Amino acid sequence: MEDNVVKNKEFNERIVKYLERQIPAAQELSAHVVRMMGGRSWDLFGVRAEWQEGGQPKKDAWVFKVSPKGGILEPHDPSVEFRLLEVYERNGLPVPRPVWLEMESEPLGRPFYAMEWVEGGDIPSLADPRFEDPAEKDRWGKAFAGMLARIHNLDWRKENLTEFIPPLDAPGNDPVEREIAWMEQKAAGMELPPTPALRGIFQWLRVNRPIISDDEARLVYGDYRFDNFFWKDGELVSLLDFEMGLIGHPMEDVAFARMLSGWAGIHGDHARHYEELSGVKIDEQLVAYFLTLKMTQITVIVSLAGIQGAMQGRSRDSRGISLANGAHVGSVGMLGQFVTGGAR
Amino acid sequence: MRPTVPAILRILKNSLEEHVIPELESHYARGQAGQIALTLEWLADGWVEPLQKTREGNAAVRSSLMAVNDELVKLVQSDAAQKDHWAAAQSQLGDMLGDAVEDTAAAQDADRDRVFKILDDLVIAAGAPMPGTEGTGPLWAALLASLEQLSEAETYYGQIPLPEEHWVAT
Repeated sequence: MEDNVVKNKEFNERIVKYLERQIPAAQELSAHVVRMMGGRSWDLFGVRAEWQEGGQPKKDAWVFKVSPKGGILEPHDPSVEFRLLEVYERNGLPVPRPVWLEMESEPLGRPFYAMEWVEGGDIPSLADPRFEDPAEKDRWGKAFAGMLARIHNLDWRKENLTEFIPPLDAPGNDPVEREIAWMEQKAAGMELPPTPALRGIFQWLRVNRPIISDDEARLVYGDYRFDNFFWKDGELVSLLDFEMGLIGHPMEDVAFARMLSGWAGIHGDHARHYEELSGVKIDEQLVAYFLTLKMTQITVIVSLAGIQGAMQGRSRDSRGISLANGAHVGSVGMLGQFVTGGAR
Repeated sequence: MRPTVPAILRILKNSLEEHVIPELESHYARGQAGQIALTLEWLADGWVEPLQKTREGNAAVRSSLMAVNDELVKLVQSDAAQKDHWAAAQSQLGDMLGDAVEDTAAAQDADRDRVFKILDDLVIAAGAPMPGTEGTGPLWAALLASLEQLSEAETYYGQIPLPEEHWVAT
């Protein structure tokens, strides 16, 4: 039995109807739809279609990224990620080709976008036996660090990214202050009861923030971790998960990589490789600061948003319960590090 | 904060209706799942937070706030430059601690909301978190203990587990 085949007849019929609209020359179109479980923030469906066109058999495959109802990364605006995907593609970075953007709810009940279904790669575990060979480990680790350098070298000003990715028009005198203000605005906009521990963390972040110039700001990938990408033979063949992108400091990505990418987290020679390619010096004090900022960001945009979706009765994904449940506990734990002197 | 029990019950109901029932091919299974969904809504509608749990949680946080009050009194006495600032915060906290709370579900729920609000106000008054024994360090240590108490009071059911074995990625 194939895993996660979608049996919801109405949904499958909607997919076919949408494909027929997008490919008007298609005849006898059929689609096979599976639920993909790679993330918890959007509803992901893999769609394989076959059809006849001009007497010839045709086939193609896409991933549909559909806005969930009351999910953990609200507001789910597929146009933001679609535009960002176009920017990455235009700048030669390995991403799935963006195909269709649909902001109307009519076709599938919710807005979505479709992208190329990248096949032929895999998402290796950091504990994969391949990495017992130090040379292999070094090759993959450098590829991981080098790709981050390419992202940080992207000319985000030329692409007008500030029009559609955070911190948007949040107030502040420097990039970090604007990012903190954006998080505070987002938390306040949820209209939830007070979260005093989180407020304390914001206060710490403001007072201890490094003052960096606008020149140092980069496109921050936001979710840069080794097991979040497709790889093939030591080459990173496709970046995935673009919804946490923002304009900020490059050490934010390095901090996140350190947090969740184990040996591949841009250490030692891999760090030097990143520095050579990006021209950005890795500053360990900044990495420590951005680790806290990043964990705060996750608390705001994942846990608090999860609570909001639950409390307002919109959430429909039972996995969100576990994520939402930890918001206050997580914030108190972080705050404890500042008060007991555990944070730098 | 955490989602309330009715909010969690409604997510479960929504999840059944959105992700499970449409995928079921057996009418019998759909009937069973539909009955569960309706029952979850029925439970959510009638849910009343256990008075004993709320009462115990509020009492524990209030008790820990006594130490915060003591630190505020010390700051009123030692920090001449910000004496009025600390006095205002201490007065607000003192009023709250001095108020009796009726032993009813509604009154204890309202007191829980008040505890959240006053802790939020105290965090604002305390400024950036500080370690150590100087300045606002002791106040922050007391505030942290109260926030930990609040966290414990909030999560008396413990963390909700995630059944990893069922979420196999494809």
